[in-house]
Formats: sequence, C-alpha cells, structure tokens
Amino acid sequence: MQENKRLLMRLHPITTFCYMMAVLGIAMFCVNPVMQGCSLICACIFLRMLSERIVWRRVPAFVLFFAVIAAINPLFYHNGATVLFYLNGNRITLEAVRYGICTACMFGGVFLWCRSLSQIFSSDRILCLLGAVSPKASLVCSMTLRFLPMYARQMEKTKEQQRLLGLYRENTLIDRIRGSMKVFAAVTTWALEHSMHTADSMQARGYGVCRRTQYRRWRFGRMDAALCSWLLLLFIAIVIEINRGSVSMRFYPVTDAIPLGAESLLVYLCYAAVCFTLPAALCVLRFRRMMRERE
Amino acid sequence: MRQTRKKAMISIMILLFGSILLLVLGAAVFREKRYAWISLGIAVLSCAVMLHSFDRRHTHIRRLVFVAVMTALSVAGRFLFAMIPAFKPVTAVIVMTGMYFGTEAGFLCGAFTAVLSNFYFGQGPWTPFQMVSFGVIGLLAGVCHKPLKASRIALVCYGIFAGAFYSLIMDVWTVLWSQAAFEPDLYAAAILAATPFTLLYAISNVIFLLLMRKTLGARLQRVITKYGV
Repeated sequence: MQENKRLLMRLHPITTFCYMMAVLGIAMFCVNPVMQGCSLICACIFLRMLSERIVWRRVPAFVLFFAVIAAINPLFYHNGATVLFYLNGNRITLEAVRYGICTACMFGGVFLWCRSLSQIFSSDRILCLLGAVSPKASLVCSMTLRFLPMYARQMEKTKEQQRLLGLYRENTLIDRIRGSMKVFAAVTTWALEHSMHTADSMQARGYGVCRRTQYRRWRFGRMDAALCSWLLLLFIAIVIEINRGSVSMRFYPVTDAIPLGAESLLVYLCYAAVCFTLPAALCVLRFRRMMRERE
Repeated sequence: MRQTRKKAMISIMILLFGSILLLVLGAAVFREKRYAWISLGIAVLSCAVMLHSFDRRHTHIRRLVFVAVMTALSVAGRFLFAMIPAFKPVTAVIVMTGMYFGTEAGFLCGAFTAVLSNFYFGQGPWTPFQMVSFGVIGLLAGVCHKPLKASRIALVCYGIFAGAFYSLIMDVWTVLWSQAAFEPDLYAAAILAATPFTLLYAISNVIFLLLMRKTLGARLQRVITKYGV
C-alpha cells in the first residue's frame, strides 16, 4: 500500500540494492525446489504488501506463462531415466518435467520480485546509485527522464495540429505508421534545436568547471547499516554453502532427493531470512511510527 | 588522438582480462549455472567499462545533451508504437545515433534506452543483456558509418543484422539462464520459437531505417553542421 511504499522509500538506495542483489542473485542461480518455492512465496507476500490489491485478471495469464515455461523443457530435452510417455517418437521423461517445473518456479519468482522491487526502485534511486559510479551517465539519464514527458507533450501537440490541418489519418496501419513517422520527425527537429539551448545555458552557468557533486536525498542511517551488514553476511554464507554443494541437486539421469540435511536446512532458513528482511524492516518501521504517534 | 587511443586500449584490456577472470572464476568457483553467471558478469562488466571510459573522458556538453536527446527520442519511439508488438523504431534511432554521433554515443544511447524504457516496460534480469545488445548495435553502426551513410543496401543489411543480433543475444541468454549447461537442442528450439519476432524486428528495423535515412539523417546532419558537434 501507499504507506508501506513510503516507509520503504526512506531506506537508503544502497540497502534496497543489496536486498535486490541478494534475493535475485540466489533465486536466479540456484536450482533447488525449496529455495525456488521460498522465493516465490516471499515474492507474493512482498508484492501484496506493496500493492493495493491483487489484479485477478492478470493471474490466468501469469499461470499460463508459468505452464508454458514448465512445458518447454520436457518437450525439447529428452535425457532422463524414467520415461513417462512418447510424443511423436520423442521421450518425455519425469526428470525433464521436474526440472521444467523448477525452472518455471524460478522464472515466476524472479518476475514477481522484479514487479515488486521496481515499485520501490524508482528512477531517482537508480540515478542516485548510478551517480556514485558515473556522475556523467547519471546526468545524461536524468536529462533523458526530464525530456520524456516533454516530448510526449510535444508529440501530442504536433499530432493535434496535423489532425487539424487534415494531414493526419489513422484509418489503416500504414496511415498510422506514416502519420506517427511524420510526428516523430517534426518533434526530432524541435528537440534537437531545443537541446542546444539547454546545452548553451548549462555551459553559461559553468558546467564542467569543477567536479560534479551530487544532491543526496537519503542518509545512510543505523538501520541501513544494520540491514546491509545482515544481508551481506547471509549472502556470503549462502553462496559459500551453495558452492560447497550442500543444496545442489542433480536432475539427470536420475533426480536426487531434495537435500534435507542439517546444513541444507540451515541454508534454506538463511535464504528465508534474506527474503523476509525488507518485510520485517517494514514491520519495524510501522511499529516505530505507531509508537511515536501514541506518544 | 593518441591519448584517446591509449585509453581505448586500456578499456579493451580491462574488458578482456575481466572476462578471462570471470571465466576462470566461474569455472572454478560456481558450481551451478556457471554459464549464466559468466554471461551476466560479462554483460555487466562491458557496460561498466564503457560507462567508466565515458566518465573519464572530457566530452563537450553539446554532445552530452545530444546523447540524452537521442535516448529520449528512442524511448519515446517505443511509446509511440507501443500498440504494435515488436515493431519499434528504437533500433533505427540507435543506429542513426551511432552513424552520426560516433561509436561512443551509439553505445550509450543504446544502453540508456534499454535501462530507461524498462522503467515503464518492466525491469528484470534481462536489462543488462538488452543494454549490451542495443549498445553493441549502436557501436557497430558508428564503426561502419561510411558505407551506412553512402548506400541504401548496406543500411538494409545492417537493419536485418541488428534484428537478428538482438534476437539471438536475448535467446542465448534465456536458454543459458534456464539450463545448467549449454544445450544445442534447446538453443535451436529457442531460435525457432523466436523466429517470428526476429523477422518482425528485422522488418521493422529495415522499414524505419529506410524511412529515417532521409528525414532524420538530414536533420541530424543539419544540426551537426550548424552547431559543429
């Protein structure tokens, strides 16, 4: 919801970035049904915390997409020991089906995470992060972001004028493309000319005279430091464990059993802790605000 | 001139050694999905190297603003044609930028277009790959700008190449991501499944490049001669 989003926006972009990297980095590159399921469930919960309501209309399309991804693997990949049935002379194996479902869970989880994370990763936060790496690039990006609505307005105006003059038609596809092209060309000239004024006025005001500094909207507070170090610690531990192979599974020719030893359980727990970091932080923030309001 | 060449050499060296390092690290350390790790790492690294060299070099403010304008135009083009899937002038604008403003501007325009338009069309792990593929399309257009400006046939060929290249990179990556190892069968299937899109990309690139060759090309040339960028 809006309030949740606003509270999370108070965190420093670096914290959100660390969270995104930890969650997605592990979800994308670890093939393990427990981890994938965990990521999928957490993604659903996080999305629900951020958005107003579930758009039920979109759910069937999402499930269909999910099913297609799950089906692609067994249809095109025929290794595996257990043959379920033959399709056009090709073997459809249980192992390939399992791997397909696992992959589909991963894709679905990553899509949902991207959905929810892009809500708290607004463009100004990306610009803040980019500005720390390359100030010039962040300048160009922010200029572009400013130009976009301006050009959209100008295109609308040009289109109206063309329509008024009787030059713009949208009866057929060809007409529409031709008309759009004409508008596009007109706006291009205007944009290029206009940009020269921007450049000259920037020069006149002393752009490039000294090093570019950045306006920082966020402060890296105690909560950010705690969250970042917590995420980093868990992430490193999980990556080390993954590379030691305590949660890895072999799918072909025979699928291994899901690893459920003490170490693997610890890894699952750690990953769940990583995923629930921001939701938990959100709860803490809400609790704090409630206490303050009560006082 | 010598300085810029030296800097370019250094960035290429960094890219090369970084890629080798990533390959070795990926082979030695990462057990699962090492191809996906390595490919994602190389994509991010190449973007970072280009950004860094752009940041270090002194660029005239007008060039900077031009890159911003062209990026905004290509993103706006993606919006303008949003109702027709895969039929976008984005690649054409990036190619024109590379042709008229040079390799670096082409790469940056491509990379920024991918990032910024994905704010509206959905960010995801595909963003770095889109950045690299659009960027390389712009960069190569800058490299061979002479034949592209001179002949229409070269432009058509380049448009087809750009469509195929974009589609191939995105498919390679989808297959690498979903699979632990590189499977030729799955890759062929992915190419086959993506053929309609590849064709649409290629056709739209050719159409837009031919339409823009005169109109946009003349306008860009005019601005370059007028303001001496």
